[in-house]
Amino acid sequence: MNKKFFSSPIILILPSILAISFVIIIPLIFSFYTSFTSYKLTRPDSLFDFVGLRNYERLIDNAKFWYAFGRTILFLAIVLNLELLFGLGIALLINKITWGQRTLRTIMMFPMMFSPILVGFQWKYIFNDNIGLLNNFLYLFGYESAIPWLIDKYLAMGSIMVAEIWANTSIFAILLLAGLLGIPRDPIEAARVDGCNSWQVFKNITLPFLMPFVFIALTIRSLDVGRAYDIVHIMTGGGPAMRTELIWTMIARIGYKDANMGYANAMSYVSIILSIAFTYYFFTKLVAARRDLGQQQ
Amino acid sequence: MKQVKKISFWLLVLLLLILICLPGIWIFISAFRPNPEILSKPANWIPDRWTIYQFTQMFSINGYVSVPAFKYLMNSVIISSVSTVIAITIGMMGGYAFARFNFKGKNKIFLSLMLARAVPGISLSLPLFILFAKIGIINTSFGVILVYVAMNVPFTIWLTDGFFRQIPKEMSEVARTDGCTRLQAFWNVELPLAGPGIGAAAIFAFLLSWNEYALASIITRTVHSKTLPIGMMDYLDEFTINWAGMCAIAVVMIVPALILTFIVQKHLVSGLTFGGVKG
Amino acid sequence: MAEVKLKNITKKYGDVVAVQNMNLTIPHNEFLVLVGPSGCGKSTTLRMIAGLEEITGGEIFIGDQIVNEKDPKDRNVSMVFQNYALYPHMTVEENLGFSLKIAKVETKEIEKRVTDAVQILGLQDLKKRKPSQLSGGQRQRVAMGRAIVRRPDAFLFDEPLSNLDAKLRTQMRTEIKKLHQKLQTTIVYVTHDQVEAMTLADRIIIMKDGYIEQIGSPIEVFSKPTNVFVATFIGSPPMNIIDADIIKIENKFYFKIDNELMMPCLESKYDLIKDKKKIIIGIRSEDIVPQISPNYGSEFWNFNKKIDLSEPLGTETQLFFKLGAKEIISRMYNPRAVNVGEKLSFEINLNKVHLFDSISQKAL
Repeated sequence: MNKKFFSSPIILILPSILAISFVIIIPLIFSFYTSFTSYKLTRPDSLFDFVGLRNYERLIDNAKFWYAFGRTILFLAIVLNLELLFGLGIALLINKITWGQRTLRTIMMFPMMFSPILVGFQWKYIFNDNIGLLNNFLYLFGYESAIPWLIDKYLAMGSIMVAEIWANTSIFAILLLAGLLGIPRDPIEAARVDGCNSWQVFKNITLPFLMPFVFIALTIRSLDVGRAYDIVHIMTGGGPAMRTELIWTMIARIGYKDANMGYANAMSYVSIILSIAFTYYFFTKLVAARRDLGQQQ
Repeated sequence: MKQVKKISFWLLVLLLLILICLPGIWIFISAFRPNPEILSKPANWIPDRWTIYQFTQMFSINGYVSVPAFKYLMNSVIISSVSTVIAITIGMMGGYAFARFNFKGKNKIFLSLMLARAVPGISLSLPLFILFAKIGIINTSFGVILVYVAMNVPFTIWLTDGFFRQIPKEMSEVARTDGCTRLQAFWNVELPLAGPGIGAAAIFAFLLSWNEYALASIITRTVHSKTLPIGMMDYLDEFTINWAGMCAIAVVMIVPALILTFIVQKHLVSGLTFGGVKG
Repeated sequence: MAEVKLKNITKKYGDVVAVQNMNLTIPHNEFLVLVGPSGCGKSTTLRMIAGLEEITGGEIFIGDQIVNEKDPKDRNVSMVFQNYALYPHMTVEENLGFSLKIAKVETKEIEKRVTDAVQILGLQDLKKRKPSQLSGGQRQRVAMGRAIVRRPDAFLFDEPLSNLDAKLRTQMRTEIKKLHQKLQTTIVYVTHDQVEAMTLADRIIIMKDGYIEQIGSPIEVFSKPTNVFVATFIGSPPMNIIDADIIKIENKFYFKIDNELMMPCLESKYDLIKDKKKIIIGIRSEDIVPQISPNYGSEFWNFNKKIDLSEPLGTETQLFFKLGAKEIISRMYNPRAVNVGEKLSFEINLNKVHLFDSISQKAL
């Protein structure tokens, strides 16, 4: 037994699988069940009140939910693209620096380590209409009327996006920079000799090489999209008038404030599928990009 | 022309630095300012006087506790450390298995583990809350630790798998012909070689626990088990915010995180990319 | 102090056969070299002996014990890897003593054995260094030292010299040979380099596609190759191989190479070829001799050819020309310039011609 213990991959993976089963799989099965009941925290016996698909039907009929859902998709599409774009720009910028590159790279990593709750608070502080850094700064240039960044129905969403992008661009920048540093010189030099200009070199050599790194970053990032909940929760709490309500804040509101667990669980399932679909998509892209690169070499 | 290009390049770098650092610096400065000064209009850019009032309050040096930050800090330290040690131990075993063995369904299991990690905390918190309440581990450090172990395991596997694969297979083979069992080979050769990488994975796991909010906000109910991110909310009332206090607790939260990041940043990047690039 | 025996050893990876039904006895103190092109199964065989690869079928004995089920650590063999696999986090000394420490040998004994190995290999000044501070040759020595220290029943070498540059390789080759003479143990050595195989081996095994093609001493496999593959694999430049038709004129057999050239067949070989239509002729380049004053006699055959290319190498000049459809190399041990297009006279001693069956490619 002892001899074979370290030779059996299944036994080695088993503790991981057990931990995940207990904390993630079993609760999910349970919540899948409750999503077919009218379970309310305040009435424990309602756990056995089977209502079939009613929670899901309510969900489908609920325009507010679909607004939140659509807003979430839009939110993710915008922030992920901008993060990727800014990350690439920053990586290219830092890649050009020869002096102090390591220090700059370390500084780049700092936002990654900020708790989302801290990021939310930090930007809530900066965007505060009364005492915020931003309005105080604008005041210096004569904008004396305070701009209600987090209260205006359009500005609020933008402000949250700024916070989200600030927090998560660095993961893209760091990984893409690692990719840039790892690109072999030979193909680039060969392309130069073959008559490519800088843009053509970037498009035909650099970018294909970077693709696996783009997908690593997107995969890692997709694992944590739900953490945007923390930021929204602290910055606006979904307000004003649900203008910044994302699917996750809606779950929390319905589950905890309204104590309507069954309904909230049905909603959770939609959000879980959304997250898993994101991760799955990027992961398969990563595997494919990796294979391509392997064949090239 | 070249000069202009160079100057604009460095201006861009400077702007980047400001964007990254300024929010944090502003919080840091505010943590040492009295609240009236923060609230003054027009803004008072350079603090007139520095104070550590908020910190003495938090750590109850004057005997008066506004927010029991010290207790929160201890909870955070204990929960993050214990969950990290456990997550790294079992995650490392998994990473080793993925790096060194071929078995049926390997890629599928790996993907499933990652997908399990993708479940958003808030969606998971509903059923966890009910289940943990039922078995009586709600509002305990144990419950939070358990959750963080499971949350950290998939990513630890991703990272350590990469680090173990960077070590040539022959290292283990030669140790085994040198008279080691597989376990001895792991302990004497592969573990020391992967050490820095595993350290990085550990710090990453630590930080995830340290910073987590959505799940902890549901599972922890009182000062008994609340961690710093939850404790931070004590400064936030429905209509008023103790800005200086919140900035101070933010500093308490972020300083350890930054120090740890600084220590491991080099290995972290190599671990993230290696696991991903070399299939 | 043990012989190593392989009985009907087979290794499959799924449907792919890496080693097929291999039988082999390696007596104590023999230096055995497994040689063959990559993918021939030589490394797999070695790794099965080491216990790093599971055996699909058959039995391996070390001494009189079956070791199929034994862990590598219990087989008392040492292996030297192609990339040395030194422990990067240990000094040279620690690398050498590691296996003994694991075996819980007394500290004094470890010190003694490490010192011995260090002296044998001339590593005295490097004891405290880490592998990253060593040159390729030094790393190679440490890897061998690590094997020596254990006093194993058998040494297993997996292409140990292929990461070294040419000059160092020759030097280390000599050292390995000396080491074997000093240590008096069984060595199984895998290489793809036939020169290494020839110079080191007591016995050579030539493998291809999982099968043993020939086993024999270096001289045997060189002078009596059992088939075309061995003939072309051993020796440099490779043996010249020419396809020819067998024709009979006035009761004499000839090998018709092309429309101009017909090589006579020795009468002693008539029995071997009389029923055949085609033949494969193998001639080593040193047996195609440029000659000014030809020898006469039934065992000599002379012909003239235009030279396509000449490569002077100093001690010899290699001459390239066409014989039939094939490009042929001849060696001239006479350092003079040869012009392209120059016509030279060549002589072949027919006793030195190898004949192979045109279908089975086996030696006749």
